[in-house]
Amino acid sequence: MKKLFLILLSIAMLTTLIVVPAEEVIKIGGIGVLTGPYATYGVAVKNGADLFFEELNNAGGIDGKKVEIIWVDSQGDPAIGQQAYYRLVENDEVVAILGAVLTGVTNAVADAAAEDGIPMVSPSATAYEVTTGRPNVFRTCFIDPFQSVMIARYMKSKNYKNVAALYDTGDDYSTGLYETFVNECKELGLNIVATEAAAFADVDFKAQLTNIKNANPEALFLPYYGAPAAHIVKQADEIGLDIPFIGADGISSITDSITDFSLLTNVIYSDHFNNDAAGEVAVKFLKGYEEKYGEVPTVSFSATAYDTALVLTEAIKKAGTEDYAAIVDAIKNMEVEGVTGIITFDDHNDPIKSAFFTTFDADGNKVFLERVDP
Amino acid sequence: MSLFINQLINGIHVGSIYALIALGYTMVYGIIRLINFAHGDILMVGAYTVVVAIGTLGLSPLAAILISIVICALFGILIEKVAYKPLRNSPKISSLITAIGVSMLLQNLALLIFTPTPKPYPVPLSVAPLNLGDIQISFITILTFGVSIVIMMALQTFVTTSKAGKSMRAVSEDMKAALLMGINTDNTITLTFAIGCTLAGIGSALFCLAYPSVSPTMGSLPGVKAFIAAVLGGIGVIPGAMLGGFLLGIAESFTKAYISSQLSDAVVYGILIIVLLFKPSGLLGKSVREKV
Repeated sequence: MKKLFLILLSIAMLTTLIVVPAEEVIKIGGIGVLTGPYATYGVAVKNGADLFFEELNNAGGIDGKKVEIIWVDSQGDPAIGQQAYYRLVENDEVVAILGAVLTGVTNAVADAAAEDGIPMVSPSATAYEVTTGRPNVFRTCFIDPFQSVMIARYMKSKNYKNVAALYDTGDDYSTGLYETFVNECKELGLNIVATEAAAFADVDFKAQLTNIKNANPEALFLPYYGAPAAHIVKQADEIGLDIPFIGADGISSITDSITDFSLLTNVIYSDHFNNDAAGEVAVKFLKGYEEKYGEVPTVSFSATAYDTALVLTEAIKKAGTEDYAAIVDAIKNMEVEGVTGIITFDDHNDPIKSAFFTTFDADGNKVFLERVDP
Repeated sequence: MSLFINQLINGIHVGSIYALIALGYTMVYGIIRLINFAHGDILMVGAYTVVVAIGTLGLSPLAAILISIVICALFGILIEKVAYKPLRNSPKISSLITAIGVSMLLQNLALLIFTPTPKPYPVPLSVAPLNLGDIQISFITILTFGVSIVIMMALQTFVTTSKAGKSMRAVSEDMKAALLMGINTDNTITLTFAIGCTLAGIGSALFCLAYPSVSPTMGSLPGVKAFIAAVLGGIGVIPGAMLGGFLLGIAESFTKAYISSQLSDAVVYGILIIVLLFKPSGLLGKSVREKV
């Protein structure tokens, strides 16, 4: 009886062994912050990428194989992000990584990915060093130094002489932007009359803003994400600081965190994409997004995530194999038209693209100001 | 000079909020010697009640805030009945751990129901600030300061003069003796929780008017700061909570303004350590030797 059972068990095990490879699925690992205060970005990325893969699978997938993206929540924590990476690579055997979303997490994940050589493309990690010395790590968004340079030039073009800066010392994204901004201001001859910093997760900025107001700047550089920026803009209004607040892409989600949209008319930022400045692929993307989710994308990382999915798919198609090195090579030499424009990669694995300066009207709608080319 | 005064006003604003929340901590601790770690999360419950009342039920902001305060009080009573009452005769550490458990429970329930994405607090408050030359005081600062002072005085009067207040003090001194004297200790403790959580509800509204973002973990940090304020002023002492709150807020604001923004938390905790080294019962606390 026991023997019979053992034989049956072995047969059962053998059949599972045979069944698994019969499913023709290409797996891609998605890592993003899907919960917590920065979930807006992760969900935007997930929506954009999911939309692409749904369209792809409906059209037959890659050479008849369906593509499955397995999402793991990083919770915005670099350590959890890294664990997610190992789980995806070792247990799920994914062929590529899409993500991560926040710079800090992406750095941690990219560290591990660089050792394995797995193709990894982030739709939103804008800090310079993410792709440095990691030939298999790419991104489809522009980088922080580039944004800071563009913002400083924008300020210069508006004839500002004295500007101030407020940044978050506990956040790679914020400090990275701040450091390049300072350098570019020196080069352009802009005076930074007040520099204030806040610790991560602070909600009270009035002490810093009062110091800034006292220094009388003409504009404030604000390298923040949307949720804290909403606090800053409101408290600036309370203490009577009425100057333009110029931030980078992270501030774009501020509309989700504020009720009084009239405060947003002072906010200007550099964006990866603008719905009003869209090409042919973008029109298709916007239409598909609205059909699937019932709203237009508010965070431009949906667009860069869609492009990231496109880049990975094209690379896997061109490589014709699931070999890491072949896919990385295909990404390196790719030229493809995505939602945010034509994507090619430079020596540092960064895309070469334009910045779209954007502000808001009193109802919280994005208003396109001007496009600045590199 | 105007910078100094403006920074002082910033500090008083933050301090008033800490003070209001600290009052609730102090009340509960004063009566049953329990640090109610779920107190900060009641703040979050109040904030989400307002979000639902306005967003889903379409009530007016004032009605929503009043309802949220009532809901907070009911939550306080419920938590006391379900989580703390069965443990009243167990060691203190059991209640303390239960308090942390309740806090986790509330946060995770909110995560489940409302998702972790922060929601904007749907009460707009646009009243022009008061301008006195270079000095500017926002309406919310005046409101918060006024409300916290009035509540502190009302509470102090209530505890010292009313019958219910006297029974609270009796329970706080010796629960068994109070029971023998015919005081309904259960009702008194329930009342304490209801009042403490009502204060958290009011604090929630004022906190959210100042920092209008509602998320499941929003209560943790103000909860911890208010707890420090309560300990600093002398936990269990009502004016102490007030004093601790203001000291904490002003210390934070001045550190940010004149020393360094990153150091503000370090300074706050440093003050706490120094005060506790020299006066373990807090600034206004009376040192009563533990009865054996």
